[in-house]
Amino acid sequence: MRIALITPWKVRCGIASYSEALSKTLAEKGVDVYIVRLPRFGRKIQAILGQVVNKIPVSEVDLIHVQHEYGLYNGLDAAFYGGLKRLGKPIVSTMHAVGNLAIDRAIVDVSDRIIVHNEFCKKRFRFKSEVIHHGCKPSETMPKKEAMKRLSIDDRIPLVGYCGFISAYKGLETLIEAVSKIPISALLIGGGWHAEPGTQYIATLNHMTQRLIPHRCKWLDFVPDENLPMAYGAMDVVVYPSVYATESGALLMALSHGKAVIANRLPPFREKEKLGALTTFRGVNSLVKKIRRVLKDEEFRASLEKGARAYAEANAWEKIAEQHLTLYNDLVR
Amino acid sequence: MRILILGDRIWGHSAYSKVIFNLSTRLLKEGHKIAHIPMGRALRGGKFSHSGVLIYSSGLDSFGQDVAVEHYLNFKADMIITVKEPWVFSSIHKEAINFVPMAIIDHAPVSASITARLHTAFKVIAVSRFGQKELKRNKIESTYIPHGVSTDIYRPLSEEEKLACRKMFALDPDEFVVGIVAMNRSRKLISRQILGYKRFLELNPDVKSHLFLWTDVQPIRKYDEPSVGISDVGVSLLPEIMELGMGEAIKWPDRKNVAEGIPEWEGDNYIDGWDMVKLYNSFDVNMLCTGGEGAGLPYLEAAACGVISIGTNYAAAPEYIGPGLTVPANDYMVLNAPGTRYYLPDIDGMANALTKVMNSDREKKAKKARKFAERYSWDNIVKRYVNPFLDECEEELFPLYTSKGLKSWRQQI
Repeated sequence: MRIALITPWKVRCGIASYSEALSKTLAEKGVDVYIVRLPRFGRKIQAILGQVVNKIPVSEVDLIHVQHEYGLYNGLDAAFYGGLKRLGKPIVSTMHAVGNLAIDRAIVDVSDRIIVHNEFCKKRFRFKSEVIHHGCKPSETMPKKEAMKRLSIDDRIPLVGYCGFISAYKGLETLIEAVSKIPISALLIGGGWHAEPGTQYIATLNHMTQRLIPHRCKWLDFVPDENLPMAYGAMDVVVYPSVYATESGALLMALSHGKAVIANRLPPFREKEKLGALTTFRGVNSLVKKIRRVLKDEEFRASLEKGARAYAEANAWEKIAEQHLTLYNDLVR
Repeated sequence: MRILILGDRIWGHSAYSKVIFNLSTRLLKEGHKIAHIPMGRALRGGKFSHSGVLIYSSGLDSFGQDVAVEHYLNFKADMIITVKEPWVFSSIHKEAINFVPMAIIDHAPVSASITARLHTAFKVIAVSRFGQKELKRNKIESTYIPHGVSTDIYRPLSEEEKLACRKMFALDPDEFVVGIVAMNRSRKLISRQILGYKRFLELNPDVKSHLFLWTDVQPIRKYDEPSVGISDVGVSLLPEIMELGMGEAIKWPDRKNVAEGIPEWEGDNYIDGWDMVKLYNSFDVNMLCTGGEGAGLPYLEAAACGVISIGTNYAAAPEYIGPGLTVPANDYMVLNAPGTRYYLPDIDGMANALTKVMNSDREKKAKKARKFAERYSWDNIVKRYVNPFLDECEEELFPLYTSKGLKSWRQQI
């Protein structure tokens, strides 16, 4: 099996990380993955997306798999898919976000198969799709003491953490406010800018932490993969307060590291809560209560950590790649 | 690889023109396809080929940004390499193309006007270890590719030829010639270098010497002409030269000779064949004690001709100066629009360095200088730095994951 995978590549982007993990695992299963690089940043015009289409090694591959998120195509999705259609190869699209009806329809018209990450996305997508979960990479963390030492934080301090890209919809102000109400705790924020370097939002959050939790917040900036075991190792609980999400690679990374996770009560996270992978909150007071409970109740924390590991094992990249392979085989048979 | 290079015109005589010419022509030999957009509205006509490099029109923007995407797509480029300080750009870094800026950094701490333009780059090239360190401090990864020199062109001439060079440039055969090769820019601190030379004369009153100032002693732009870029303007040097009583001690060329530059090598014409090789070969020492250098091509060119340099102990100068001498600089000033620090070379330090060079075994130093320059020969730079960089880019632009690992799928096809 040989596929062309259209995706952002080697950039600070959740979809790029997703594609890299998927490609590696598919390759281990004997699939040749031809990456066709999609520009992640910058002003996109039709001709630039046309150049992406023209670079696809059509004669070398059995199918084309597109990683789709609206922001990547700048409203030129229909034209881009029109170009793909002309190549005459089966097309698979993974929808990393759903809900723009006009664009979704254009993609469905051209794609042979649509992949979404969870039941919420499947329902919201309104067209035929298949759920293949976002993969996880079960990983070990660094021992707490060592991680705290490396971060120069007193290891007696209960540490609440966040690790992921920072954008306005990530709702970090809720987390900062919650931590401000738990005086014994401290906050570790790992993550850099997402689409825009040095956003105003990050500056606002920085100011907020200085005002509400002075000397109790440490910023790590973007955390490279090799430092994730240290960052997660230091955290007693990881919080994902996103105000909107269709899925979260960052949250799954926390689960993959076997962390107790508290997430905002959004449909994709509720699905995971039902599986015992995490717990959810609604509003600042609810978050304060949940953080306090996780920090105090060791049994509760252990059950969340166990649930996180179980979820990560059940959705390990190997299994996710297997499901992709089955789908590809169905399509090209 | 299909590479589009944006920068000073390839047929020009500026340092960046030379970088572009040398890189382009060597990369062509390596099998790459190269195109070039000359900046500064240098080409208003249609496409043509220059030494095998496809030249596109310049557009109306001084830095070619208005035509960059159009030419990038037309050429089906894999990347666009820009050879210019990144702070001049207002839009190219916001385009969805594989932008590869040469981050030319002549100051520390590096200006946000530079780093802000690098965050979305496909790759960043640092032309000095100094620049690379500054970028690293700002969490910007970069690949080190230094500027080079054509050691086959820039070379020491024989003693006889050197005397002929001096005669051609109206310099005495028995005098100690201090040369300055620099554009007239405030950053170059030419008036301060003159003070350093003046001090050298005061310390060595019995020495027969001239300062050969290879620059335009008048500003290139008129006073009422709007400027673009970073306000690194030229200055009128004549009033200061005269005020300092240095009119006799300094020689400078006619404006038209430096405005357009002179060729690198004009052949064995020692009557009126002015060129850079003959110019350096007529020097005893090359002086470039500026406020800050991103690289400092004259250091390499002089070294290749067997002439050692003195330079300010700041920015990239110490790396490029090789066996030359650095002059301490403890104070700085801010004199451009982005507000960066340019260091002031110590006046006594310059005088002492010139004295040291004058009293040294210059023949021995010449051999050392030449050896140093050979490390920076363009052939060596391409082999050691550019080729591995492009291989890495190829694999990152066209990755193929197989059970055997990662490679470039385009090379496989």
